[in-house]
Formats: sequence, C-alpha cells, structure tokens
Amino acid sequence: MRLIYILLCFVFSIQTLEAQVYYTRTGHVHVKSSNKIKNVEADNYQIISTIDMLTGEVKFEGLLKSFEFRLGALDRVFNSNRINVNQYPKFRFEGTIKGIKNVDLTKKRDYKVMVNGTLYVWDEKRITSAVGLIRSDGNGGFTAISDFVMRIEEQSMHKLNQLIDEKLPDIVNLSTDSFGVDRDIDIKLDADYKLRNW
Amino acid sequence: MKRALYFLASIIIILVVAYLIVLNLPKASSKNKEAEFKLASVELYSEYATDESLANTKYNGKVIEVTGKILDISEDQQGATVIILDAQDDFGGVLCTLESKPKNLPSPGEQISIKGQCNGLLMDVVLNKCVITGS
Repeated sequence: MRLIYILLCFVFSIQTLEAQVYYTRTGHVHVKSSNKIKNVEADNYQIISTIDMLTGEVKFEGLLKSFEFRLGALDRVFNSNRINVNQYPKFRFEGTIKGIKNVDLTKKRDYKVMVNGTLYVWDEKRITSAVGLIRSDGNGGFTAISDFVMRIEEQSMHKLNQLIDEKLPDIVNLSTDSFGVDRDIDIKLDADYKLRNW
Repeated sequence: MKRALYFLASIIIILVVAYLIVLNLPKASSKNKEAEFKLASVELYSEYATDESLANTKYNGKVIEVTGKILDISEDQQGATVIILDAQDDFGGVLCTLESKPKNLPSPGEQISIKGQCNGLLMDVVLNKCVITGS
C-alpha cells in the first residue's frame, strides 16, 4: 500500500513538473543590420521555442531559409538556389531566465526578466544576455519579448568579405567595408506561448 | 558639351529608375513556381525523421506540394494562416505558413494539398510562402 502511495506521488510530481513547459511553433525573430546604403532587415515567423517555468530554461530554434527579407530583391536572392545553407540550416539559442519564479501566470501583468545564454549561428557561438519581458494574459498563457545584440567578430567579418568576393565578379570591387556594415546585429524575439500538453 | 550633359542625365535617370525597381521588387513567391516534388505529408515527415541531412539536400529551398489531413489551423505573429498537416507522429507534423489568406478557410480533419518552399526540420517539417492547391 505504501509503495503504491509513493508511486502515485512520484507520477503526480512528474506530471506537475512536465506541466510547466510552455511552447510555441510560430515565434517571431526580427534581425536588423545597419549599413551606409540601406539597413538590412529580415523576419522569421517560424520559430520553435520552449520555456520551462520551473527552471527558467529557455530555448529557441529557427531555420535560416525561413527568413523573409523586407527588401524584395534581397528576399528573391536569398530564396534562390544560389544561396545554399544546407551545411548549417538552423540557428538556436539556449539559456536561462533569471527571475522566472516571480512570474505568476494567473495574474495579468508584465514581468521584467534577465535572459542569459548562448546563441549558435552557423559555426559561430556567442554568449549573450538581454533584458526580457514576460506579458502574462492572466489565463495561463503569455507573450515573451526580448532584444539581443550579436556582435560580429573580426574573423567573421573577414569570412563575410571573402564570401562576397567569391560571389561577385572581380570587376565589382566591393567589400563589407565599402558598405559600412555595422558589426552589431539586433535580434528581437517575440512569441506567444501556451502550455505543452504532451 | 550639351550632348555629354544629355548622356550624363540619361545615365542618372536610368540608375535612379533601376534603383527604384530594385527597391520595390516583390518578395519571392511560390505561387507561379512548379512543384519539384509532390508527396504525402506522412511521407515527407518520415524522410526527414529517418535522415535529416539527406532530406535537407533533397528538399530544402525547393518548392514542393504536400497532401495530408489538417491537424490544426492558427495564426502566427504577423496574422498569417498556419496549417499543420498530420504526419502520423505524436510530436511533429508539416507546418505550412500561407502567403495570403484563403477566401475559404479549410477545417481541421479535411484533406488538403499545399504548395510551398520547404525550409527544413524543426519540430515539424517547415514550409513557407505556401498556397493551397487543392482540397
């Protein structure tokens, strides 16, 4: 009898723990890179993300090909067969939210939190932190918003310049320096989360 | 001298027009593209689940047409219609984001064919810039 009781408690506690994971399949990431000619902005509305409300663990993952550039010409080039991202088709962020325990999803209000983690893009990884906002709707669901800045390091700029040099004919003597590309890329995430029930 | 000025002015006008055309070009679309592959949603998901790398090489970036049963219909952060097709898997399906709102929205449980650009696998196989081709 005691064993059954312990087992029941164990099963119940596992269910309680699992019930704290919230997810979305349609999160939004907006990226913006500034340069002298025209800012490059793109949106990805197919982000999968989970947040564990007990541990504060947060993950989001997206596909590079799901980015839609606001400039039509750039969008056409990116979606053509000339741009092949099959070697590294995804990017992801893994981190933790500090202050998640203060968030009460039964109350309709905003909670300011701190997010720390690692962003993985191509073969690069960046440890980053950002201020985030959790907007509880009071019915158990919430929206999470966060702004990150990813700095492109010198060696990555060199790789980018090489890629541009390879893709453009020699006569077109352009480089990222001539475009005045800012090395900071703004990344903004916003997503509506709901309770994962599996 | 006058001729040279006319020539220079023509070049500037051509460059400005070309710049404006480039700025206002519409985004990439699947609407007028022929599907390179036509298959069932169950089959597509199974190929990605079995060998993601091989499926990436075969389908990523290509316009494909998938047919399957609708599991769920929702809206994403920009208000676009998102349809999830059944892949007979407990966790994943085929997620299709429509390019524009359809006149008649289908219902969950209906069998449907959707054409779109295949972008890879997350929890679901992800298709973007989709259009409904048959129901």
